[in-house]
Amino acid sequence: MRRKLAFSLSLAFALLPVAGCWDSTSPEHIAWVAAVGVDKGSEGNFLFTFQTVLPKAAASGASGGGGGGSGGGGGGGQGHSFVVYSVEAPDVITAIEMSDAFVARRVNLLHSKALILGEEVVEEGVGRLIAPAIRYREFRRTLYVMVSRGTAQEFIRQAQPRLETDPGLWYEVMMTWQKEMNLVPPVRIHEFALAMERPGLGARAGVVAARHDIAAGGAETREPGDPGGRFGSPAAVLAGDVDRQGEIPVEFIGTAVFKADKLKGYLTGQETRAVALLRGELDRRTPVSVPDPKHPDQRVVLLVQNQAQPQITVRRNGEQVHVSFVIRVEGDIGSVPSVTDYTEPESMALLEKAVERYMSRIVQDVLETSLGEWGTDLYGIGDRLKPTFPTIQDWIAWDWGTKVDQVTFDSHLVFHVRRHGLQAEPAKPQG
Amino acid sequence: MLFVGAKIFLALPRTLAELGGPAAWMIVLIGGLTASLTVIAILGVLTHFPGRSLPEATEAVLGPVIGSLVNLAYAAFFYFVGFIGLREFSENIVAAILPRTPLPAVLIAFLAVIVYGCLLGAEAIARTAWFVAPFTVAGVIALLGGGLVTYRATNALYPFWGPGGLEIAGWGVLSVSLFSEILIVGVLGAELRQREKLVKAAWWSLLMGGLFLLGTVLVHLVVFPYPSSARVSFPLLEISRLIVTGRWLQRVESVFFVIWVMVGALKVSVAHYGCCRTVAHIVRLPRYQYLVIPLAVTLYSASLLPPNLTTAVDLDANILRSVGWIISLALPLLTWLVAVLRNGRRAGRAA
Repeated sequence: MRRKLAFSLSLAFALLPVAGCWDSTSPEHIAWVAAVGVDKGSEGNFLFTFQTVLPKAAASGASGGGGGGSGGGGGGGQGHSFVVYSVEAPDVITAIEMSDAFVARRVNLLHSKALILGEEVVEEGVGRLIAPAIRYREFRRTLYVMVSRGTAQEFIRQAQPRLETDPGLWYEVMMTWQKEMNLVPPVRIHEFALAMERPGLGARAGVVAARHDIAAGGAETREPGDPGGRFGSPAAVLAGDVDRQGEIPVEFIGTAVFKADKLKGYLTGQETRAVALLRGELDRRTPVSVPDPKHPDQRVVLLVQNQAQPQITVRRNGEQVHVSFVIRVEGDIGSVPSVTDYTEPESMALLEKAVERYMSRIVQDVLETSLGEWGTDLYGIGDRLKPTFPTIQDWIAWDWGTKVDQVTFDSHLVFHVRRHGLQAEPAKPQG
Repeated sequence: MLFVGAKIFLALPRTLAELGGPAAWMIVLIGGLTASLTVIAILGVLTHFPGRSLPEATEAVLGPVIGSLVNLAYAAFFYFVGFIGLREFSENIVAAILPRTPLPAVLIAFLAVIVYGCLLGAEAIARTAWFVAPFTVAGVIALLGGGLVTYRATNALYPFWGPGGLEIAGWGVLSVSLFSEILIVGVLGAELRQREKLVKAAWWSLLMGGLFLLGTVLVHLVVFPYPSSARVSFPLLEISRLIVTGRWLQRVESVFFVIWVMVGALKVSVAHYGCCRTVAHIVRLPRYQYLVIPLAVTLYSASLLPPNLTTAVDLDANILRSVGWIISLALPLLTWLVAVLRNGRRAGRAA
């Protein structure tokens, strides 16, 4: 019995060092990175920008960051909850290695929340950045991917949250709400890498931008008569163009669409929601603003969502592919500025038809742009074509990626009002 | 069950995706069905010699010379499973959790547990497995479910025939080696207290191990649709790292690691036990325990022979999983056939 006990104890003690003798690192010696930005550097290098959290400052409630100059350096200073610095390197591991020349702590990406890609990088192709990143154990496939209009460095420098002290938490909360608001697609690096690897499938990423005018205390306002872009909705803009003043000088709105690893173009916030509708991802009552059918100068806000997964029917005849989209949408009346009573059956039918026309137009436009113009399959058409091929060799040889822009399609959107909010008839001011 | 199914924690789902693309799951299914022949053969041999183990029965059927050679093949198989398993599990720990820890330190820690378990005997290992199994089953189901909730690709299992129906059927039959570990039933069968439960235990082990493999490969293909499924090093680990169901439930790989280490240690313990028991029988040692530490030392050395993880995975895929069926299926089947023929002759003479 004694021998067994001694043996058990010695084994237990022998296992103790395995828990972290060589790998032990005190949390105080680690520089936790909240976001990594990547821009084009010189001589084929990338310019990596790290937003590094100061845990004590974040915990004590300090907010904002200290920035460093391009190429290194930077400091938090008192009251800052994070530090931003940039370093040039051919890949992220080398960038971390070079950080050791001036960061006293070990830079660690395990708690990173966002990968921000600069415009120049995505135009040239991100394959040589994403492929090595997903191999590295500190890069989790749960990182959100975003494209910054301008440079990622500018965005990260301006990303100084006001309502949060921890920038990592800020990114996470920001993107969590996008599952409901759908102004940017909350795409993680896993989905991005998969889309990049599969023929024809279009990778997506959220669009972000720095607002220097807001940082300077001003704001960009629209010209009269242009109430928000092509379809007249405030969401029909890209990050960097939102009509506003105050709060943090950065914005998240729009979708960057890729073919393979290269940027093909941007979709506005409104179009981002249309893509979500087509993919069946609009499932949490997202606000959509449409012109009031009885008072075209005013807008009715509806909280809409996919009633069911869209029916995407794919027919292949040799090389020719035709896709039919049937999208069923339901929504609640959120806001009606006019005195029209849309709870009356006739008015409600009128509103439903107006919403159908309005949303169909956006959906049709998005389909024409993404499929016809950019040749990217954001809707899983290729996945629905695969069952028509017996073997993987046949599917690969058919080369879906080169045929996306030849696809013909039709779409049919049906909308029904479900609820009318807490007010049946509108409040009517009396003289 | 754990001995057969433990390979889901290693690179196997990726290797299968390389072979079968979106139809990799069919390879597991066909391999599992073919492996039922292994169970039939082993049980066939053991029913001719009630109360004896497979090595004892083999020697009784084939004689001391040929029987010992066949038993040596069984011992070599368990040894191979042991050292490759030891290396792969240790390498995975170094690659994923302890990147700065030297590989020998992890190997020795594993070996210490393995040696201790083997010295205590089959009952200690079996009781530990009984304790670990519910956590493992629940953990794996939670991981696979979590992976599916986090991400699933549409029509990921198409084109249905993957690289082609014939190719899949060929790989499926060859992949009977995926279930070669079921051979351990022949060694442990003689040690069961309730021997009447041997048949049930053998079939349950094959069924549960097969379901483990099939479920993992299916989920792997859906969460990492082909061709990505053929490029991920440790599929189950990557699935665990993907799970995010909100701010409060993420980074669940910490739970996964615990299961991973327990199952890894158990798998290699069982393989080492099977090897020691078989060798002890061949060299007529009264107690197998004499061999546990010496063979563990050689196991450590052998596990360091592959120069890198890629070679270790290749050895597993190209040798163990390609020709393992010769030992796990062909030899028991041959032994059973000889036993049946001899019994037939004896019965004829008696008549």
